[in-house]
Amino acid sequence: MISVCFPAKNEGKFIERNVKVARRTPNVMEVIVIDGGSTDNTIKKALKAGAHIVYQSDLKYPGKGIAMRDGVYYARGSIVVFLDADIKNLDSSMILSLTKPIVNGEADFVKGAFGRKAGRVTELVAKPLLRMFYPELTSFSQPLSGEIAGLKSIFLSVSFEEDWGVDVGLLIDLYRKGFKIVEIDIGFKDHDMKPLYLLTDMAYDVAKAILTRAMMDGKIDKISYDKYIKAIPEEIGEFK
Amino acid sequence: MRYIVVGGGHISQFILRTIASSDRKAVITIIERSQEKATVTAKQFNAEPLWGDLENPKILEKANISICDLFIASTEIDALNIRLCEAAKRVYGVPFVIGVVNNPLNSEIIKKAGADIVLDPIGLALRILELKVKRYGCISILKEDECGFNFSILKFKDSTSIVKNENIKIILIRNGKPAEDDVVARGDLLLAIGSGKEFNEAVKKMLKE
Repeated sequence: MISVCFPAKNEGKFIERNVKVARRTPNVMEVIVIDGGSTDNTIKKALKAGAHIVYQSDLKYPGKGIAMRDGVYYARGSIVVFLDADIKNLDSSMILSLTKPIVNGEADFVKGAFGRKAGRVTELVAKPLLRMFYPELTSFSQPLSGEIAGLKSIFLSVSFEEDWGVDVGLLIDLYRKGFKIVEIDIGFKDHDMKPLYLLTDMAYDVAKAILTRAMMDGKIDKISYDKYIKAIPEEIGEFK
Repeated sequence: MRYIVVGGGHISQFILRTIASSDRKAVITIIERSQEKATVTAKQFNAEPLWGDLENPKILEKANISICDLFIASTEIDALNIRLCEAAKRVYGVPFVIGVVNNPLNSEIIKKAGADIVLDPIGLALRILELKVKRYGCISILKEDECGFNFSILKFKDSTSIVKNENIKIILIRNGKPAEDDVVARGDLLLAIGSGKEFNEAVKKMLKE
């Protein structure tokens, strides 16, 4: 059975519709909205549509990874699907496409790829770094996609990055553990894109998630990692 | 009493200290994901360590949850604490279940899942902050659904008569000291303890809500 999770913060615009779509998808046993501290009507609308609500254990922003981790622990289904809450054109076929390879035993983890240009952080940060350190994963057209599905048991076997690094972190960690991963085309995804100036933190988190794993795998030496990655926030804090 | 504490983090450390110092005959089992953390923490409190997948009910059974008197879910993940409280209460029928919430917004959810008492450190701290900054109104320090009775502090903008009934006990604080009067004045504090509908009605009446 399938649990569908929507990490959400101030997504009142589309959450009701998306929860309803997910609920009427075959084999979906529950829809969970993990709220990251919404101040709009997200909760009210999600409840109205029949979602279960749980709040992020830690309301820090960005906390997408915290929300996803909490969603895995809250879910009762053996398959857990994560979808972005701001999709304007979600339909049941997206959920069914994501879960089909798992139901058929062809995959443990499915990444959804969608019919729009991959994002700027994907093209300019994730893909170049993956090409350098994990060339085996360059075949994924959208490694940062938030539309994913997996067996609950495999999600419980890895640690979640708390921030925007969660999606690429999961991809690398599940790959390193030898789980079967496939990328599936889930059609056209209509959603708002962030303005460029809001992408710096996201790009940083994605780069950090990849470089941290590269360091753990011995592809970057720890001294350089400590100097250039871990030290950055402190250096900014000590700006003179 | 037999205790099971799930989670070996910051809050659990204080929970374990409290149990160990309040119940000298306590039989405590600590369940943690990491073997090292479980072992080190258990040693501190003369407890039995268990480690493994906290999602797996087998670990609760290994901890003899069926004869546990008090179960505490205090991991850093609220969703996990909710599911643990649910299992302890609904599946294993533990007589007393305590759930920790790291986010106060999860209090109601964990209560509904099966926690008899919710430990909500941030929520409690916020009530104390409210007491400091709220000029008048009711500040609920302990709530009936958390511990079986209400303990509220009332601040007034106007003088009003103290309402008395069987379900509310009141202490008037004037200039920082307990005082005797049937009427509160601006600046007075009322400490109100009680339960039930009558308690809430008395509070509303005094606050003229």
